[in-house]
Amino acid sequence: MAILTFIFWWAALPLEAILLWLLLRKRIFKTLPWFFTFTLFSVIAGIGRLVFRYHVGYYYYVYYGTEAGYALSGFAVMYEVFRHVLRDFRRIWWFRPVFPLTIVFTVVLAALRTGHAPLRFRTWIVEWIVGAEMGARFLQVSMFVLLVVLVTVFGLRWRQHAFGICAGCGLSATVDLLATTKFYEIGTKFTFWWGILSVGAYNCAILIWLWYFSGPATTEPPRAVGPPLSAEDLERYKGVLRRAPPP
Amino acid sequence: MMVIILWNVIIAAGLVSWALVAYRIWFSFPDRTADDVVDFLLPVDVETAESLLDPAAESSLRFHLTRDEFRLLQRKRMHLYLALVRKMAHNAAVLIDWANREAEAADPRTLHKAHELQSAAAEVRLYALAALMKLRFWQLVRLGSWSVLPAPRLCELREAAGVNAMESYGRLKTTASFLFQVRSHRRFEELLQSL
Repeated sequence: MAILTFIFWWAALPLEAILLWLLLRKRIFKTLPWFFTFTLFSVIAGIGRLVFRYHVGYYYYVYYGTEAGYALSGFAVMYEVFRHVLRDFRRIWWFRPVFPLTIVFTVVLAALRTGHAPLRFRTWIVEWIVGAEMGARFLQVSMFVLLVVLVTVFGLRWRQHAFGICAGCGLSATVDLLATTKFYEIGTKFTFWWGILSVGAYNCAILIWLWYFSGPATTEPPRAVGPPLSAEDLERYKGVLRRAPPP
Repeated sequence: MMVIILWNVIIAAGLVSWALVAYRIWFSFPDRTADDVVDFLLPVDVETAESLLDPAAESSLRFHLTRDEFRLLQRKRMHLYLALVRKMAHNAAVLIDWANREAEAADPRTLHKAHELQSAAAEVRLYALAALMKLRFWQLVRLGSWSVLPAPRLCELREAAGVNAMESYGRLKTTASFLFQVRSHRRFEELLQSL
């Protein structure tokens, strides 16, 4: 039983290592550098937590230090996803402030919700870290909902890497927020299930990312920012005009 | 209280989104190729759409008809334009589905054209969404029937959500035909007629 618990608790680490290897092999760090950084950080953080798990004093700092890293990289990954998926809408002026406004909204909401929580943290830094973590989770769910709406309404390609990242983050963050809400309601009696749900959802998220990144890699060419006609198309038009009879 | 409600709404939205993803995976059209495009398109009468959005034509109708006659006609014109926008949105959905499939191609030329088509189709979908919302709102509040307020101007829908209707649909047709040419498809003429 102890072995099974250990496997469940630490399964994320080898899965993340496989994901990191896949990202390296497919050179994803060129197209999605923040997601690559997030995965690399997750592996390092996982090793750190595994090494210091029996040193209660150190583990506290390692845990909250890495949580702060997760929160910051979570925001950066979401920005990357936003830029990738919504680049078709860049020409529309009101799409640009959507991401900054969503960040402000989620951070304010997370800060207010954490402030209302019955739980009190040891220091204000930890309180801020937990608030930022909640904000990142909230942003991930919001982004996932936004992407699902866009896929449904605009028919965006859901088999692209950015959507896979967002789907994984969305699943993990939704379950995490749900578990945290229950934790706020029930209290420390729920700690065990809170851990099970959070770790289980995060493991599922890694499996989703592995599925997305193990598929055939498609290199996306840079989009045209100039006129919609390429030089080749222009030449074809010129050819048609040359062949047309004079008026 | 408000914070907790918002918090719970977002969590519920996350769960519903997952259900939507599962629904989409289950019911989506399987692997749309160039052969599965033409038969699924609905022809859009672009000239009719142009005339419905023409401000000069609308002003002329307003001038020549009585107030009640114009209101009645305007409601009919709204229904006609609604049908056209729905067809435009449907065609854009079919084409974006095909473009998504072509975007997985290894050939850089096909890939480039597929991305152009995705972009054009997304713009048309955005326009259609905004225009449909506006038209549905006009129909909901029966703006065309109230004599105290001026009848809605259909020509205002030339542009919605920052997208020009005819320009974006024209771009959709052009990019779709380019991708069809790249794929050397035999039903090129049919495609142009079906859009």
